[in-house]
Amino acid sequence: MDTQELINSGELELYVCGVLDLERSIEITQEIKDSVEVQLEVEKIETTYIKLAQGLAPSKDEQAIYDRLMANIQTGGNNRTKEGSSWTGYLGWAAAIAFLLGCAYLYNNNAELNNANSQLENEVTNIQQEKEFLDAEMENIKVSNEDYQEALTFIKDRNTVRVDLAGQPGFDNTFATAFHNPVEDVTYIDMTGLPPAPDGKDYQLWSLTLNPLTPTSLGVVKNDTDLLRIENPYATEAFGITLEPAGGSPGPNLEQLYTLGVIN
Amino acid sequence: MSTQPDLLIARMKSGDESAFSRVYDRYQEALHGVIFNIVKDNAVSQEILQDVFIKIWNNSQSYDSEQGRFFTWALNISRNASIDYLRSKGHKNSLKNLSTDNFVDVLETSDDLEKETNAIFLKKWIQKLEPMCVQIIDVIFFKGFTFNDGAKELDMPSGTLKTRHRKCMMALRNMILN
Repeated sequence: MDTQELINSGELELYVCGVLDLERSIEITQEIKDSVEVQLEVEKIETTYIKLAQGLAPSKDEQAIYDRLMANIQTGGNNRTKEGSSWTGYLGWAAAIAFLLGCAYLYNNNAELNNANSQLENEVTNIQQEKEFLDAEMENIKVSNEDYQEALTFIKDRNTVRVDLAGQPGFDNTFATAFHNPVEDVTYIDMTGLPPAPDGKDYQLWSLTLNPLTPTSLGVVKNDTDLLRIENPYATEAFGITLEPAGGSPGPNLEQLYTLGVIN
Repeated sequence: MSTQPDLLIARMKSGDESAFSRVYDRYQEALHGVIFNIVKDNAVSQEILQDVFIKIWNNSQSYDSEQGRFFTWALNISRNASIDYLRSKGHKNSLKNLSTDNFVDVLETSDDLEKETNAIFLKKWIQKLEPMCVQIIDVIFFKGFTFNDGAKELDMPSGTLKTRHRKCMMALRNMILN
């Protein structure tokens, strides 16, 4: 039964009247929790019955009933029907009851306000935290955007050359791309074509001169971002990427040379 | 329209008297109406109303929101206390009349309701309801017959009773809430 069928079935009315069996009532309580629409419907039904029943309520001595009730519950269910000894006694009791009612009213109002207040404070705190989170997210996006802008400008620069680092024997399916600008002494490296480095290992980027073959470390590089900016003041003729023990090595392990690319 | 005051009810369950008095304010009039419709005596209905709220206070721990609305729980206590009163006092005729009188008879004949604003409005609304609706609402809501007993009482299949009850309540609701 979907929400609309349940609403139209008449079962919610029976639920409020208390004439359904317990099992069905428990199921409907769950439906109310699951659907705001059902909840609102049940509240409208209940309000209608309450208004209907109120129309059958005769006048009464409201204060007397309330006083007797409170006196009764405060004495643990025993009726408090002792006669007073004189009018002063009544006066004292009347003053005490009026005072207590005043206190109860103020306490009640105050408790209610405190409660509403602390709920609002909680909401304000939540909203503030949410705002801080969103501010931080926006700042991250802004920084990331600026990084991309910078990278794009760099790649478009006439002095920037693109270097394709091809997969080496044993690592044929891997690749990387470097963008090198010898005027600015900066290299961007895109390593998304490399598999994640195994635990305890890091990729290391090398600047190579060819004659004689001399590697210079450009540092450990993580392949978790698509474009990584590296200061590169060296007279690079080629780039190589090797897999090294975590933290990098002083010299490349050529058996673990993943990719290599020469600047044309 | 208002939601069930769960926070107040929880505080009442934990013994907070001020919460109890707010719950009393919220529901007493409707419960008094239900009680009066059964016992038809103002003084008696006030006594029973007081007893009902003492029961609500003493037994509030046993109210389980998983099983239904607080109003429904209090409604059952009120109906039961009223019917118990009629039984205990040996009001044979009243008990007999319970199944023949309906709330509109009470509304139209009781001197205690003559000048009550809520009753005056209700009379106006009820005039526009189909007579069958009065019987159905009386049996299901005011008297709290079990569903099957209600169907027997009104001599109609239980499925028909369910949908007609909904239709009647929608008609009343459109008048009351708008």
